[in-house]
Amino acid sequence: MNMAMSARSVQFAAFWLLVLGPGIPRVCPDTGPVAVRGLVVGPDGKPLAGANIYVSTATATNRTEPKVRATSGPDGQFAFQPTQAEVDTNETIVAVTQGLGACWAELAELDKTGHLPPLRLVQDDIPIMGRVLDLENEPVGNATVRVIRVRRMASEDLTPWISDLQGAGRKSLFDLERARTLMTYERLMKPVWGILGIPASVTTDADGRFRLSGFGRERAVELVIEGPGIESRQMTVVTRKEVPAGLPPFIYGARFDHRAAPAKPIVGNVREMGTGKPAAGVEVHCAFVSGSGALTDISPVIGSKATTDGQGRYRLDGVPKSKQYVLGTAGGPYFAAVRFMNDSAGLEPITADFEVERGLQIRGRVIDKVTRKPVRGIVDYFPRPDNPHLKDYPSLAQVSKNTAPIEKDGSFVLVVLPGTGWLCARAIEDRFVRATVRGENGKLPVVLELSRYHAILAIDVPKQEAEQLAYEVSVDPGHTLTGTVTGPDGAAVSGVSAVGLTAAYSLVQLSPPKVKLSTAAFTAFGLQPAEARYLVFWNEDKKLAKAVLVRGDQTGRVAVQLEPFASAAGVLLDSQGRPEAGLKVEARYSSRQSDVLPGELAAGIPGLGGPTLPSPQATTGPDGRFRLEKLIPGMPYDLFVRRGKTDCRLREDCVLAGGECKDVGEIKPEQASTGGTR
Amino acid sequence: MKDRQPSNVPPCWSRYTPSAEMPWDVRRVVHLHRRATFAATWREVRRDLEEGPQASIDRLLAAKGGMHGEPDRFAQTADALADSAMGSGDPGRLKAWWVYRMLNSPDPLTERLTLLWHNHFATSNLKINDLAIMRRQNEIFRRHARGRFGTLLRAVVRDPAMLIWLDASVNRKGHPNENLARELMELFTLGISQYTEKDVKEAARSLTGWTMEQGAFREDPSQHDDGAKTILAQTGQWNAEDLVQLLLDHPATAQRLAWRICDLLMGEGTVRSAAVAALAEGLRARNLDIGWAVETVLRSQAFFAPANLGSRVLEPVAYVVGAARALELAKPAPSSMVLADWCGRLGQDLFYPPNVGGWPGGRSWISPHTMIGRANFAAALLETGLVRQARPVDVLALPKCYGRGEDVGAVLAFYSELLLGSVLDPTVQEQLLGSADSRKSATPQTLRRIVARLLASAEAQLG
Repeated sequence: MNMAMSARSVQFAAFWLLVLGPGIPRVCPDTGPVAVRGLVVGPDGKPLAGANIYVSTATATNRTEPKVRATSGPDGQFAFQPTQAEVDTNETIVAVTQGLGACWAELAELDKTGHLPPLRLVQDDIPIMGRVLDLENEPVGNATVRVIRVRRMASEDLTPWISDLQGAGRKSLFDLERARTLMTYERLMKPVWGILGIPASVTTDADGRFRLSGFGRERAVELVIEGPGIESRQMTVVTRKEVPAGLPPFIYGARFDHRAAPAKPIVGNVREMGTGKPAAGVEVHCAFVSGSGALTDISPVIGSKATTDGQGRYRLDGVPKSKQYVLGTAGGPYFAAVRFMNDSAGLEPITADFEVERGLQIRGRVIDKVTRKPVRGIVDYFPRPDNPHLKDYPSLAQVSKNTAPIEKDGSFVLVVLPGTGWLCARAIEDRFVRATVRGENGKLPVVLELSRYHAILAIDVPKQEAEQLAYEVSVDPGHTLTGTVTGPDGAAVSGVSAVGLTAAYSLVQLSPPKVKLSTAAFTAFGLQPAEARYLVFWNEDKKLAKAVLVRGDQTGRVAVQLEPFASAAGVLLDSQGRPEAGLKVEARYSSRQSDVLPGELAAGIPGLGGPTLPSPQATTGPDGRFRLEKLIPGMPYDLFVRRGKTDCRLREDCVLAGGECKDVGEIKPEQASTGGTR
Repeated sequence: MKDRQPSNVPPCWSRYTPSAEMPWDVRRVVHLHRRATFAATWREVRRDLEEGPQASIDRLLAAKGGMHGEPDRFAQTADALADSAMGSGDPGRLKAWWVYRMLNSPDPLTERLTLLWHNHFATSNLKINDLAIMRRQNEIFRRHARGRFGTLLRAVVRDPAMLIWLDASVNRKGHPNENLARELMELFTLGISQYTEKDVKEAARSLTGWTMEQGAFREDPSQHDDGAKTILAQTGQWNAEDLVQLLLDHPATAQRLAWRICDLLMGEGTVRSAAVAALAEGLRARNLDIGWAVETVLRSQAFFAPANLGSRVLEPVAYVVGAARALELAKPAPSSMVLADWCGRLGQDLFYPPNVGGWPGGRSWISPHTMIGRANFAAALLETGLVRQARPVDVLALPKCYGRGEDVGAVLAFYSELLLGSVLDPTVQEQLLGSADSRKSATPQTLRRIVARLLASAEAQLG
């Protein structure tokens, strides 16, 4: 599998996680189908009568208007009986009334007595008024503006999200910093996929204008704009009159002009390999390659997919004209197929035909091991490299794995090979232990990165009865630790960045996710008894940090007292003892720590490398001196120097105390070893 | 219009005065616009014909052009397009932005000069890989396009695009990297054989300490080699600023600058070395004032001399944008992204010059492959309009609008004048008209094919 394919795999997996919804790590109470009770209040906080209450079952593609389940009484109270299925799938309860913006909460937010948090409706005085123009500044009439979902902060204030997005800068849509910010707020911003009374879509007039209202203030409304001859584009509109400058692309205030690039239609036929029969019901989607050659922009995928008709024909509209297109198929009893197509001149369609290979369609379900409730996310299938059937499926050799989303009820459908392989589940809620595979060391394919998954199930699929089988994959919430972050004075500190609170790596970066704590409290999820894990906390503004090593079997709250950053200084000399100037020195988390842990911690410490954790750097001065600042007290570091293209380790396992300035002394080349790790 | 003339014009750049031998005619109006802008509409041709050369050139210099007068809020729209290009991360949108500017700017001369500087300081996004940085460099070219060359040079060499492109950040005291120093001398100022290898090494030492931090220029004194250096036979503790001044003061820089301007505005083999030297001398006397040199050439007898007419191969951008502009394709306008894509297919990919030397230009633009490409472009332009929802161009609309005949011959004559500035040679005309049948049945499709053939003709590749 080449790098582009690898990037694509991560991209689509990340895309599914974004599309499927939020990943709020939480421990769900076993509510059962008790009656739901709640209170609706107005913008002034007073009880509001006459608000309609319904359960939103809308999805990105299904917008059936639901029935009203209750209406708030004169005291603002309401009650209704949810179904067990609604509870299991954690549906969203929405309160709506004319003239105010809706409010909503998830069933998982019910307390033990069946009460939801109060639903506070908001002022609805900021309609979305947009205009669609092309790159020639001409209005685009008859474009469709679809409402994908609406999100809100529990605080009803989007300022923290907007501030963090400003930090991400005006970067491309697939910029990692931006993706990380979005992922963080996916967990914090409560979504609803449809609101009663708000149309699922509107159309632009001849002047390219459209208007949408009813969302209320401080809402982040996700829209897709698609239309004749223009690219399909997803965007977020903030229901504020103005948004600050410096936000990432396609995040707009309530009044905005959207400039749509021209689209390049892609048409073709999909046929079954071997028989040549038309393959109906196969989805064809498109990512595209930017001018720099990198895969870019996951969002147009939403608007850039089509399904083959009975003759196997498809037509993709809304793909932005680009240098190259990456086309993929999915669905039906077929393995995914991929084609790279170069652009042609102009805006006339290009043709991309596919031959898809039939596999075995299996079904399954992903559940929480403890509660046995469904868990949403994605499932990847990897064949075992020694599966004898692999040689008969050249298309699987090309993509190396198959991916399917896990639906709300935990079910998935996946096309696999006969014989042996692995089902790898990744939940949206990143609160489960990391996957392990016993006795398979050295046998897993390189592309099967254990740290990405919450569970892996080895399977052996019989050729004949595959479609009668149902696989159950359970994800283990493991042990949870809670704690509090305080400053040197013992006072609680909020706004701290933290790494290590979840077990699995981020799909986007293949490194432990970084979160920003809104309060001083934290929860570490997915610990296993035989595991040690560093929890790392830091706040650059306050110049405080601390790393603590916790064990999976420990109990009680974890108290983390931040300390001033530490530093390390030294002198680099050449073999003749002369100072070496201009060399870059870097402190990195010492992955060797796993070698020096007590033997009973068999699972070792998950790596903490990667871009989420600060890696202080310094350059040696004319006298060969360097000083590394902002080292995290309690964290083990290796110090490296870069000579040419080689990293040489200078010192190993330096652990510093808060505020300490460690003098590592004079270091000559012969005292450094080559072969650093990142 | 104010009748003005750049002061102290060298004799070989004496002012053009219409005469019986060199009348102010359609040919010369079209010539002026094909060289100095991206072609003229017929309305502009007629207006300039009526007002005379001085007023026409005054208008160009005063930035009062534009396809249909100044489009509403042109600058605001252009900025919004650039912002959206940055946001998308798609280089195609940045190219589209620039093509939009070329088509619609009220100052097409400056856009033409911006393209000149893009080629002179050729920097490719292939290495930079940052649209914001490429846009910023492009804005520098535009801002200083007609100003003092020293101001332009200083702005360009301190800008992140050039610092990244020529590896300035690895040019450190004790470890000089010669890339920026070499190109600064060879391509940006003196030209080849005007310096020695020793000069390059010493210049690289002068440039140490110029680096970047968080996407912005930074001078790092700790990385600067402040020892004595001898550059171009002058010794001192030169730093980067000193080096730039040494280069600006050198006569070869004025000579190269004069050559660069003549390379744009004068045809192949139409300017003598003495004329270039005279222009260079004038530039030196005026602190390398680019605007003065451009004005001097545009107002000159040499510029409008018969030898200079139709004697320069149009680069793809001028060919593509010029065609769309002259044909007044505005409602709906052709896709600027598609036009930019065509420029790339014909060999001039905006923001992606092939190397630090830029596009070779001249006859290198023409090959069997590119001629077929140009013919395909002409056909696509006429048959689809290059708009989002393909719409053939109504080639009768313009002759009708301007009161010209609508039969095949009249239509061809009109477009010949519009695109080439002259009626075609009868033999060429015969070839373009094709079979007798097509002349009789002048369907819209036949007319489009004839205009497409005209655009693809050898004559239409010269400007």
